[in-house]
Amino acid sequence: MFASTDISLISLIENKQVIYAVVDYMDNHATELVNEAVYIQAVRKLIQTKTRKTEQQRLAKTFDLENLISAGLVIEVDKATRNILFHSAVIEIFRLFDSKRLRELTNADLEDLSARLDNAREGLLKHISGDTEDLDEQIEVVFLLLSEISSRLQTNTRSLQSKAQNLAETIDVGGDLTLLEDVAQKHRTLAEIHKIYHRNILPMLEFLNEYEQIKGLSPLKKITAIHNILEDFSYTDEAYRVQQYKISITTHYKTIESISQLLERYSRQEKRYRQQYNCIESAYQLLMDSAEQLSDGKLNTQYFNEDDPCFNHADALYGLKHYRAAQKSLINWADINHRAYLDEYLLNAEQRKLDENSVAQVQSLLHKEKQLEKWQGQQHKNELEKFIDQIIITAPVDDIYSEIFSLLQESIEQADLSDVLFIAKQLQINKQWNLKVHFEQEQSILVHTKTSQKLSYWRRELQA
Amino acid sequence: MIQSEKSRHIYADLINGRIINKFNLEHDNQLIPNADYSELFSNLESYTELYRNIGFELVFRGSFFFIRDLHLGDTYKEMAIKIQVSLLILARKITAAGFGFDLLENENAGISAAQLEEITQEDEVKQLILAAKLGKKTLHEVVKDVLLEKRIMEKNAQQRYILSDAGKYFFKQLFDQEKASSEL
Repeated sequence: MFASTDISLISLIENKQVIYAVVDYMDNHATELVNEAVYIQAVRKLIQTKTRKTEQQRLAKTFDLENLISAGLVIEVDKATRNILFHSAVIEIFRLFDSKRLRELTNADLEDLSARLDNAREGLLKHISGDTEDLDEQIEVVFLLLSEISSRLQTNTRSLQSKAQNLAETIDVGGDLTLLEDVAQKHRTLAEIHKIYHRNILPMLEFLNEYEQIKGLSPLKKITAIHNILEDFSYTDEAYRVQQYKISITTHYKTIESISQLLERYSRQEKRYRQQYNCIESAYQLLMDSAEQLSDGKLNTQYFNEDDPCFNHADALYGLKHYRAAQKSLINWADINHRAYLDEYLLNAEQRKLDENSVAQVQSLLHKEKQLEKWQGQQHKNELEKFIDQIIITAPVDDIYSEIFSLLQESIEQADLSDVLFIAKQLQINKQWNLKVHFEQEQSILVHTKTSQKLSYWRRELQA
Repeated sequence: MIQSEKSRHIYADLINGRIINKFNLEHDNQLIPNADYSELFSNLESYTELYRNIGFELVFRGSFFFIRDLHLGDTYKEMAIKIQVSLLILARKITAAGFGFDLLENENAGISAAQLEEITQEDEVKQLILAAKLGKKTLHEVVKDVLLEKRIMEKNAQQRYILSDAGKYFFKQLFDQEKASSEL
């Protein structure tokens, strides 16, 4: 026994994800036909989410294709290709539920509307001085068409706006540039934006621009022509209504233009990526060509010819010298980020000179072997890691170093000022903190009362 | 006016063939104005004169400084070629792997040591490194010994390598040249 049309439709609406999967398939494959496997998979997925057996059975019955055909929601299932043709009204209803899934007007759709405007104008011209009944019928055709254009443009604008905002947000949120999947996702989104921009936005702008020529007059000029015909033959009320439709249609221009500007930015970004890729590829190929010319492939004794044109890209660095071993500093760099400590050290050099009592206090871990050992000592490290895991700091914080230091002193007796830098760095990486460095008149100073260590630094603000 | 202490610090870098970039990368991945660059920029004429008197040309490229021998001028290209070859290998391998070029530009991203070791395994890369007079170094060694040492690249808080101002300048010039030639 089959369920009635309304019961079946209510079931589809209550479980929208099935038809959403169908709509997505149609849009991705630019087709009206849906592969039966896609539909069945979506239904199975839905049924698996239900725990009660009776509910599972009810859904299986309702979503059975035979039932949907009987209810008139599916037109046919092609037995040879196993493709399903849903009733267009059903698909359109579900598109209305989700603005992201509204169908955008393509260039072909817009050209069709424009051609129909031509026909309506010609029909009106033909009957304007003839039989009243024919003319009334023709005027009704004109208004039905104008109403359809206005409604389709409105739906289209809503859809494009929603889609553009979603895609733009996806790009802006970013993702991790070091993860291939995130990068690939970003490129896919940019390609999608590029497609929408060229397939939907540009034709819409063309359609809504009064001065654009689309196979003769622009659509808006055609509407104006219809208005003029009605006005010339004293159908002032009808002419006024036509004018109102025209105003309603032109209001979409601004929205579409702002979407266009938004997408143009991303479209350019995608173009820039492609240009960079091509450019690197071509420069690398020139380099490879140059390498291949050196010999028969064995390069053991062959070096690049310095005058090869492929090296013109490096001309900004011509003359840059080799490292002079005699001038080499004797500092033995361990494998940690020394620049951070060196920069802090250099920043404080002047101040330390002025203060006779102070010793070089930001103890760059490079020079203080004992401290380095202590820092690397497993026990101390464990304590710091535990502290980092447990610490709770809520943004905003005016001076993050001072905040960490005061919390650190309460927790770890052996802690020193270099631990503050280490903890701040780790927390920034772990918690993705947004720190703002304030270059003020004077540097802030932290003093460790037990060891009389001092840390001078530019204040770093933790922003929300 | 030239500040003696900064001047000595700058000299120690330049005479060792290092580049002075406009920005330095702080340990928290923030780009901080480089005080040495500001010193050179503020007293450009004086420093140009100073280095000319001791036989060097102070080269200013907008976002970085370096010195070159007055007599050799731009005819000495060996180091520039080493840098170009290394940078092109890096850029080509990461873009061919599907990453964006911004992996090398963004201070929070960068190429890791593991990725560099992986790239080195390719025979093509070994041959290019050899032809650029970089010996039998791995790409990671090249990055550390040449690009990092010369300050063409920097290491960020995640221990990944990113381009410095000078490195970015190289690619900007490359992209601009290609763009100009494609527009002709």
